[in-house]
Amino acid sequence: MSKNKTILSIIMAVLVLLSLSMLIYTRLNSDVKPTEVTTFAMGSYISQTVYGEDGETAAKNGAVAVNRLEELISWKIADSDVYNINLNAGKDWVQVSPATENILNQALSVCKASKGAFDITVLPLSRLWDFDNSPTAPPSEADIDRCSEFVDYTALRYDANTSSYSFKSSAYAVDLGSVGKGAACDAIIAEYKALNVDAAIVAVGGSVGTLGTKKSGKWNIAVRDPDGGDAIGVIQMGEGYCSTSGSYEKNFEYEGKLYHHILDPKTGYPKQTDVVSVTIVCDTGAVSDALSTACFNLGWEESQAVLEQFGAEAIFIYDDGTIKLTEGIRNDFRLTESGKLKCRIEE
Amino acid sequence: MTRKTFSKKELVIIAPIIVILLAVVMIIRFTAKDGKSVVIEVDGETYKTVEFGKVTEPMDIEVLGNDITLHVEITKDYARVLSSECPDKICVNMGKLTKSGQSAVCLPAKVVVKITGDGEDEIDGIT
Repeated sequence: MSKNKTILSIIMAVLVLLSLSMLIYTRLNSDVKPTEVTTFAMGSYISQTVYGEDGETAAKNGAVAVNRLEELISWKIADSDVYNINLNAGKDWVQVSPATENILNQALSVCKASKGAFDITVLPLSRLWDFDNSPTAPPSEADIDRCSEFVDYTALRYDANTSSYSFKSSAYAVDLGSVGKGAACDAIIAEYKALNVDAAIVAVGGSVGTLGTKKSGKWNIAVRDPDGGDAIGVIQMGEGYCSTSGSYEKNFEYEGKLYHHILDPKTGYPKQTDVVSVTIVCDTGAVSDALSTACFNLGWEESQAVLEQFGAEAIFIYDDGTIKLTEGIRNDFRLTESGKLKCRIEE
Repeated sequence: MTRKTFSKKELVIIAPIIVILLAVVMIIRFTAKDGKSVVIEVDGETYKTVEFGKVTEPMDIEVLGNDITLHVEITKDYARVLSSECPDKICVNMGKLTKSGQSAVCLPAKVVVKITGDGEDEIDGIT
């Protein structure tokens, strides 16, 4: 009798403890709801998700950091560093802020590694095509040829001692549009780190940056289906950055031909290729953004050495549904159900 | 000395325990928020939130942002931008949104349609 009672009370105690812990567990879990803030800047949609107590401050600082960055690197904003470089092209050296210097040099290293397949002096061309303003017809061949002549990153001279840049002719101009979104991710994550945030994810347009990991493990980053709609696959990523360049992002049809926004600096025209999108994963946002454009223009074979140089991984999606993955991302990428229907991963 | 039933004394202890257990299960069930919702934002501010579980017949929601009108369709299974006066139509081309974390963004209108879940998002970001 007393033995039974002991067993019974032990069982009861266990049950009570179990139910209490269940309650506490679910409560705790609902408390970790992150701070989510969305803003618009740099011509992009910015979404910040920050876990932890300082979420609100961190997201606010993040939004401020992007605005600050835009005022440094946008060629459209009067008195920005890049605006001043372009304004003084062919005339004078321009000293820039450390942030601009860092981004320019990261971008230039990708220009060099890709032998100009990615080129930050593309502004004469990008302004001519003007994809930001929904064009309906391509520019004339004569205009394209004239502008292509002045797309050459080696024309941008750098003096490390004075943190200054200059162009040898006034026809040249810098456009950091193709690294800006990735650089914005870097700037936001830097703000989070300053506040000792444990876990956060930020998306600026198609560039994503993460800090730490979620309770449940790695972050799930969806890779867009080039045809729209559902994601084609999901990347499982720890701390890092990824960016995608796809011909589906901005384009128009003219006389039965599709013109997309990824210009080939060599020809002055949208890159003719069977690649529809390139996604890059690496350890800085600006570089991931630059590499996605570079590799789109380089193609799979020629990208390999460049990717290796920057320790980056890549996902190439082709117009026939073929997907090529670099070795380091094979285990972290899976197709979604809809992705399985239309794509196959090349072994 | 074997026994088949609990004594009265023991029942007095067991019954409250069972009641407590049931109560805990109920609390957990009812405080868990109901699945996924569609959130429509205009310039970073929430404009409307619709729970999928409460949609009985397809809804057509008109959203105005930056002088651009969008129509958002919400059914019990998905949400999508049905039409938009914007020039690029990227938001419409995003198609149907079903998973939490997915979103359709109309930059010209600064309108965002996104799916949010109760727990951790199935998708944390999109590239």
